[in-house]
Amino acid sequence: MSKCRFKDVKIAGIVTCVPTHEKLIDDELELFGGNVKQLERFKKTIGLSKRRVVDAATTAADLCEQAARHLIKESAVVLEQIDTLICVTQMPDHSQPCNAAVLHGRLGLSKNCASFDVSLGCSGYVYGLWLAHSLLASGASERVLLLAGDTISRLVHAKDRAVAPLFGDGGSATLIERAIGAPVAHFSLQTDGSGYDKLIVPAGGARQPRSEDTAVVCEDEGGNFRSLENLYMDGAEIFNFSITEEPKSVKDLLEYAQVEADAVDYFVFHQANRYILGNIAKRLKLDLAKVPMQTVEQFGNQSSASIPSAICGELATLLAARESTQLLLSGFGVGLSWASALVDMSELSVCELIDYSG
Amino acid sequence: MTIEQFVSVFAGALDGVKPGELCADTAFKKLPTWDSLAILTVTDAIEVEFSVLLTKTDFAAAETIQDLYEVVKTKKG
Repeated sequence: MSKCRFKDVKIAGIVTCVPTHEKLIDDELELFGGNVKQLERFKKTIGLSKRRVVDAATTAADLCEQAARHLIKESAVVLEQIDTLICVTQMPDHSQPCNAAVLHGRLGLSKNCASFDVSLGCSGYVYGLWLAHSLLASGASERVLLLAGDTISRLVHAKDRAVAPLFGDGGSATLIERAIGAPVAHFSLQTDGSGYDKLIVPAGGARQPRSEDTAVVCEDEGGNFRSLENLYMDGAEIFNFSITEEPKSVKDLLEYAQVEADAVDYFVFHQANRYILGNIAKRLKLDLAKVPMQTVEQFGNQSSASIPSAICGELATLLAARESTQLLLSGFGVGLSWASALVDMSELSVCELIDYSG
Repeated sequence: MTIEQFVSVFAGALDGVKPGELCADTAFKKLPTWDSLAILTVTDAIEVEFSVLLTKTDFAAAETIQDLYEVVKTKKG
């Protein structure tokens, strides 16, 4: 496992922006073929409730831009001081240029700023933090703006029960700075590319460009509908991956950092769904009070924005009190890719969840 | 792990199934509540109880609970 630690880096602020349009699972009985009992079982077991989704004109870049503007204003950072912009997304505005270039222009950042995208989803926020820490600790950068967001609701087919009721949208902005004496941050990062097709949008890239054929919607053996341009998820395989690799990764990181699980104030997992979160927590024997889970029930699975969303939405008051600031963050998903971080968040000058105002 | 234990864990993982309703010969895919969600809850229960992770392929190949029991036994080694 790739593990490392960094010192003299602090996370200075986080803002997460969510769309305002809410979809309720109760309004989607047709997705379950009108079977009320099945809908109730999915609600009870998976924890399906509601989710916030964008309209067809709003992108991850839009959500991230508003989060970034709010973060910049509230943390009073001078634009010229941002010398690195990292965008983590699976849904860039264009196949080129990257979202980082687009947002660099929209935010009016200095030309003396390295800007690039990272193509990751549910593990992406932790990967972005790791990159930021690495750049700052090495002296390659003084101040990183990390924008992580996705609008996966626009990729799912409305009649695919395996994904449609799960995904919501969100965009986040995190400011990470060099700060001598800041507590040590620990990271671990992993990949299993043999599972690349377990969570995939097959068409739309260079391997299989969009065409009339890729737009054809087919029904699978489970009665779900999708085209090759939609997101496909092998639910059973992703479940197995999550409950085996995640607990291992968390245990390994704690051991590497020589920190007991009890010393961690909150375990902020990627907000996949309540069932997966509960299963990971069960295998790690964690106190559920230390595992935020409200975010996914309120907003849906927000991909790369889910961890900052959970921090801003569920932990802002607690972090502001500066008593429970030792967080273990862990993201897992598309790739297959997973990453965990043990970080101290006692230096946040802003930690807010805001509604997208278009 | 006995077949009785296995059937009981299997039944416990399914919603709306009463104890004693299932047996080793039950063709589980014909149960009214058998669906993609049931695969997850059964996989979870078997992993917790017997430390064996069943895959989609294992479920696809099995007809009865006994068939799955044999897979778990083989995987346990």
